[in-house]
Amino acid sequence: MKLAPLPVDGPIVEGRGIQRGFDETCDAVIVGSGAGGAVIAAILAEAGQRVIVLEEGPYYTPAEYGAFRPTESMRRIWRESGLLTALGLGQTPVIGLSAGRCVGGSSVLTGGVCFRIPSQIHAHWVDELGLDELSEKSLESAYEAVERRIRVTEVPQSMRSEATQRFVRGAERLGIPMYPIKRNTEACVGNGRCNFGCPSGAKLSVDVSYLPAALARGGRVVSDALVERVNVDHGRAVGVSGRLLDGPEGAPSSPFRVRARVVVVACGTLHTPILLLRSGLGRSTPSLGRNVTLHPALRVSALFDEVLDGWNGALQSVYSNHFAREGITLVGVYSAVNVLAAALPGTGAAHRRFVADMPRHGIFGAMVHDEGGGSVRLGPGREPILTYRMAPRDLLRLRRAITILAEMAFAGGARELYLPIFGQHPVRSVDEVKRLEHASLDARRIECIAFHPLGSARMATDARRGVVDANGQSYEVDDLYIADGSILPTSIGVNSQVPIMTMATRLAWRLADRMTRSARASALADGSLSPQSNATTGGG
Amino acid sequence: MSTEGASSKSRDWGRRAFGPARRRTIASLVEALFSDESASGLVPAPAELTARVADEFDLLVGAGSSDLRRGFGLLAFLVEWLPLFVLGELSRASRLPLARRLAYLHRLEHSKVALLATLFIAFKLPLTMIAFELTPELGLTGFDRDTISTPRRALKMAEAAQPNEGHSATEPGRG
Repeated sequence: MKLAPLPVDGPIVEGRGIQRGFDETCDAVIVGSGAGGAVIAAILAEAGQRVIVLEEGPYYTPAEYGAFRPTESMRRIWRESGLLTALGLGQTPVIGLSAGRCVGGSSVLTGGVCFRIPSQIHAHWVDELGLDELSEKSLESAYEAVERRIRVTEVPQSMRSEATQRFVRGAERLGIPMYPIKRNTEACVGNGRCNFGCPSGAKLSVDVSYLPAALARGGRVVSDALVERVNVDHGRAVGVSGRLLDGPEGAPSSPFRVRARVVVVACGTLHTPILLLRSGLGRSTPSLGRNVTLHPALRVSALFDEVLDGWNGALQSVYSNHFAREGITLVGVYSAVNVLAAALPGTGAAHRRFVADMPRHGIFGAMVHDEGGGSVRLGPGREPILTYRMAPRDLLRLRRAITILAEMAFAGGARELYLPIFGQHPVRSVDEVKRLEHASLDARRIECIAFHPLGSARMATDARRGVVDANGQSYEVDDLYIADGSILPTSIGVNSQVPIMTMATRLAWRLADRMTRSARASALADGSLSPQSNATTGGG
Repeated sequence: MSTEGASSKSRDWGRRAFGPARRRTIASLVEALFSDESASGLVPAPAELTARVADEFDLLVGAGSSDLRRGFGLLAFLVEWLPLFVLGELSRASRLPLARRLAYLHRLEHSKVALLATLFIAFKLPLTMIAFELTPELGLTGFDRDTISTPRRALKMAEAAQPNEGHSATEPGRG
């Protein structure tokens, strides 16, 4: 069947609305519009490349998603309606996963927290994994470019909620230093619900900070476009094909194809391996889909005597790496009140009584730097199956994190605590929590959430240990690149937004240089360019 | 309150997950989860709240993949039939009197069997999120804005722009 080109009525094409398939050609096709894909698209477009970004999820403007109620947001722009869970193996807690499925990807759903990869992780990558090009120094210019573009700034003390202040006070009494977090927001007023879309449009997610630059340079973004296959010809990626989600109730229907000189896969840690496996790849890269890390996180809710109205303030404003050697990062956090109400124990009138105390609640979280144990496999349907076997060391860390948070809360004046353990009654003393830490407990009773799945298509020095080389290029197929959290060589122990964008920036600069040189060589060869002409990407 | 159905304008497909039998199970859970007490005894969740929460939960799960929809269908089936094993009563969950349904949910929540507690949480979390994001339930939380999507108004921007006090600006060793 002959397909027509993409419609020309606007830079963002809503696939569900065009009611026909398409066939297009470009320089680079990018699968996924999140923190990796959007960065690649912007930088390549700025370097003069024709880019097309294909996004499985829908397109909503910041004003639209900022007006969603939390469960509306989950239904419309979260993957699996926010009900995605890792299948725990053995003594592994239930881990809910947060991932975006919309133009802008998970960057739309982050708390905006911006960390660089810790120095010791960079050193580990260079010294022990042999990835010399991933030193802190060699990524410095990419970090700076990202931080400038998404306007990373420190959260001022005035944006800390009263609830967070209580925990900070408790930490100070225990000698635990707290530091202000940096975030990518502008004119944040502290709505405390970043994960569901900012009602004030303050978060500079990539749909705001990067994709407009790609669109301004002629790039196209197609939403509701499910890529089903990377097309390979004689060992070279030559494009992708798939179907638009324009059938009844959003079912895949109209076929599309995009031919390109370069294919960049940026579908995230869960879906990148699935796309490659469905394309018949992965035979010579045995680590594809393995070694997934999650940064399992939990939070403790504390009841204080005074009204705190914890929803008035930045969702996240402070952190501490005081326990970094134990693999634990402490992070101040809050969420929408209906989400917090759901985490309180009880049913019926008992639950209502707990909810009525909500203005006096404070929340604080902790995240564990895990050693891996996750695998992504093809599932019976479109979605992958993620299994995760928590290392015993990481389980101990999680339980230790609960105790640390409890100590902070009680030192800050909390009266009782609600722990992330299913069916656990509120506790009223540190001793009670310490006893719980060492008591026999089925790990599946611990309630965890993970925001940073990483590492299913790792960067490594050879195909036995990884899926891509230090430039993000596939070991298996030429002209195929991966640019998302899946390429991070190990867990990083901090929020992954800036690290993913930084890796993508470095990759895009190199790719742009290569594509520009290649195009120039072709043009010189066919006489359409004189040797005096110049072309640069402006990258670092 | 009615919920949105499918329309290209809303970009919401309005796909649903549950058939009539499972919808009855969900509604019976909602009725118990958000019940209250009065001088005359237990009061089930208001019919309007029950209908809205059950409807929106159907849409929420329906928006997920076929795997998710099938998974929740199975979980709802289990919740419906487990009273026999959890309470020892030969009755479906949706046919239990309200007090017994509450007792059933309480047993699930505090079960020593982690999978039963997880089953309870799989429903309680999303159903509670849906219930408490609109008034009057939202009002119970003490949240002081008109809706859960209303931006915070009280903060003075000048105050927000003030620099940090009393804390090191940058953690040692971090760029």
